[in-house]
Amino acid sequence: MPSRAGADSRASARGQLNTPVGAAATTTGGEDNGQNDGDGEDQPCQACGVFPARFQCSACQSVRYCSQECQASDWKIHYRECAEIVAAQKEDQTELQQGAGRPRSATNGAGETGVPGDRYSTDLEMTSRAAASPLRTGAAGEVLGDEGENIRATANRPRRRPREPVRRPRLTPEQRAAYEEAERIADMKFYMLQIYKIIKPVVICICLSILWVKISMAGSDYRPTQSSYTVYRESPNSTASQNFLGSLANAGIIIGQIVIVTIIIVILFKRGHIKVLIGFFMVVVAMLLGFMGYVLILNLIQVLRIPLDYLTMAFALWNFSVTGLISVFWKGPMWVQQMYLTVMSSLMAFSLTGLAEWTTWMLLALLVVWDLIAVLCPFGPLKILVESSRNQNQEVPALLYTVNAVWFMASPPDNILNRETLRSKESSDSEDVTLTNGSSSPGANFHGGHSRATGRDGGASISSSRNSGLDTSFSAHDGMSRTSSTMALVPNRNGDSPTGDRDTIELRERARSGDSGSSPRNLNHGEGSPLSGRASRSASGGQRQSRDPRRDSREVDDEEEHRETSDDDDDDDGGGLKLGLGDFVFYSVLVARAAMFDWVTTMCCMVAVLTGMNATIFLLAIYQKALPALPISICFGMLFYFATRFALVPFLAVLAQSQVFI
Amino acid sequence: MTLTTFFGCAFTAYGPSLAIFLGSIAPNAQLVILMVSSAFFWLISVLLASAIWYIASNSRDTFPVTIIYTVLLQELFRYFLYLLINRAESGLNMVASHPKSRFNRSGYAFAAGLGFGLMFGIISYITQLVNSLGPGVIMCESCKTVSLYFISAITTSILILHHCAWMMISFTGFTNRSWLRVAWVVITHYGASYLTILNSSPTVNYGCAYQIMGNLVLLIASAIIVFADMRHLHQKLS
Repeated sequence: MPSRAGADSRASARGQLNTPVGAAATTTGGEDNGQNDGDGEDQPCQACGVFPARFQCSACQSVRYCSQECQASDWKIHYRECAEIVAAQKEDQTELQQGAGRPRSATNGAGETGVPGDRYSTDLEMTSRAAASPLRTGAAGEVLGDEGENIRATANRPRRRPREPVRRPRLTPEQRAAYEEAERIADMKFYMLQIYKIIKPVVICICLSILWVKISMAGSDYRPTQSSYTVYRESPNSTASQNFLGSLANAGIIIGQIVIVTIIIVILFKRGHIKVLIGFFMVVVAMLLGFMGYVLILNLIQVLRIPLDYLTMAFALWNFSVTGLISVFWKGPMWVQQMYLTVMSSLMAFSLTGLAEWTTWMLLALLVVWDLIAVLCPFGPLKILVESSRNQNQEVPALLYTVNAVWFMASPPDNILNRETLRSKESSDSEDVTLTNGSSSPGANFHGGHSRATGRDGGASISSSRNSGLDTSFSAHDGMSRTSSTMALVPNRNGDSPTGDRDTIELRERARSGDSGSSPRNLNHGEGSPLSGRASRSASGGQRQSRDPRRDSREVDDEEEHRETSDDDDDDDGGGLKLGLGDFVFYSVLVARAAMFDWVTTMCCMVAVLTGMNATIFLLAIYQKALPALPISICFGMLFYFATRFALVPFLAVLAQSQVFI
Repeated sequence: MTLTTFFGCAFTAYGPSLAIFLGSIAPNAQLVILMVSSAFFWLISVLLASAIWYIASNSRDTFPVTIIYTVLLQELFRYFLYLLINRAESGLNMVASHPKSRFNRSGYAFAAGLGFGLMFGIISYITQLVNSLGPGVIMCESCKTVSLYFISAITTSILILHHCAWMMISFTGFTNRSWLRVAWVVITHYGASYLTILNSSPTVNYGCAYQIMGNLVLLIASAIIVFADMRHLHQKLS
């Protein structure tokens, strides 16, 4: 085995060179956990079983791969045995250097006993070892500096019995399968908890919207009304076809506005005018909280007959809005952010209830189509947004509701660490919240491995992040960050260019998602609430306030804000689903519209929307890529609304009259 | 009779089941998701039943006939839900907090039953509940001194709990191929529904009281069966 020869050569060359370890480690670290050309032994690829496997893991040189993709996908399983193998190799060298006579305890390679606790240190050594030990490269010079380091490092490890045949601990197929299984379980647990964590804010937002609608329907003068942008006014006298076409025109106008705004945002984002976007969103949020909050308060005051003077109201409203702006765009406790985002979504939905009935349903139907196109088609704006966000390693400002990481839920067993931000590729993307699973499958698996390694870390915290903003969040995870960064240095195969840059980008994103609390998955809501919000705002411009074009940006702001704040948030770690605020808004619009009819329709639509959301997240778990969050829920919701309204409600009315329970 | 009646009836109808939900299901993410899914199934079954009702416009007012196909559809979807959970059981067990526990299936059955029950309770009773907020009151047909809202609240609460029991019994029945249990579920469901016709019967005096007592007896009997099954499960391997 080459390593033995290498050990000899190293032993002989020892003391002749002083190569700084750090330099060796860092310079070669980037590639060394990658692949080196194998010597063409006829072994199958470890991951896919194909012959010939021309690459091998450069750290341990004991497994072969056929391509970098396979190496990346196998890393999450191989990293354990890699550590053990390298440790065993080190022990071999140590034994050779120090003589076989030293009594050693009979342990099976340091790697095994050390795995749980030593994984991190092992990983680090791996890097330096990897840097040191690519025997094929024959660069003995760079090896030497590490030797002392390795010896020191291995000095503390339990020794193997002398004369014991050198064993390379390798994962048996059963172990490998077990690790894969464990990985899958951790995956599913993660998703389950994410569903649970995202159901709560969605339910709260929906309930708030129902509350506002019910209150304003009780006879207030300040109800949101349809804007004059709409070309068609529904009236009870029009025929069905007139209603249909007219509402189609209305909804088309609104969707057109949404599309235009989305494209503008995408262009701005791609060009890098982040500050413009942020400023824009800030204004939008301010307007939303300020004006829409004002309208809501007027409604409440009138219906509930609250005695309140203008001064107090202005003071309270000012405080409310400014706190919202601060907590969403700057720093604030996570729960305050989430609360504000939820409230803003419900305010947005409340304003959208001003649309007439046919228009609302038509709008929702068109949104489903738009969402599907925008997220899944290659030329869809949201997809482009997601990708450019990934490329620039810059999250789209706000627009996302982030669920906290679940790492605090349970101490993970040694080999299964809770996942956090898996697949973080799209983590930054927010706006439309695409259910992103980060990369394509090889990358996905790779990420899985990472998250496992990083464990509680909430996604890889990279020690070397380009984004200074992230550094503050690393403080909490310093111990882990080194490891994760090491692990993360394995080339990330995401099907695109596997360059070092890409790796760091991936890492950075993961880190960002880690500490920004953003997690890879963003449920796409189809247009980013901003857009829709925007359009609808103009559409329902019949508010008392002057229709301010900036109000549109308010919606966009909602989503952005969240992301912004989460960036600075140290406490709540990333990981977890990200759901765009637009999803919140349109779920609430649907249920609020159902609430305008009857309580039974309200409840049915709520259950339908929640089940749709579960199904979408389930699909996300299967497909591991960005998915639109609106279609399934809205389709269920609309179906149930119409079925309930025309069949169930009369049915129940008859039953309830006679108190017959089915 | 407004807020007082509203809160009283609301807590009477939903109190026990919500307490159960908050106590044992809400902390467990998996069970919550199961519950929502089973509520969805129940909803589909009732929508189908209402579609049939809508189509069969002649028999709209004859309750015995309505109950026949409604209960039948609910039981059918109970079976479908069982099939679904059965299919997904290995996955569910993997992420459960105790993957190898043999009570997992009972847990799922319980959550599913609560899903059915809560959805049933909400759909059947919410309109009456909201109506009780208003200034008027409707008296029960057969017990003229009690308001309709209150009798309905009691019936709702009993039936929600009964749904939990039915689901657990039926799951045991489907798993162990004990058709007796399945028959028990179907028959008692029909019994419970037909008993509620007594609520509004103009001929039977105190019909509502008989209905409540009858439903209670059925509930206790089902509960006994559930406990016997659980004890049997507990003792089986220990």
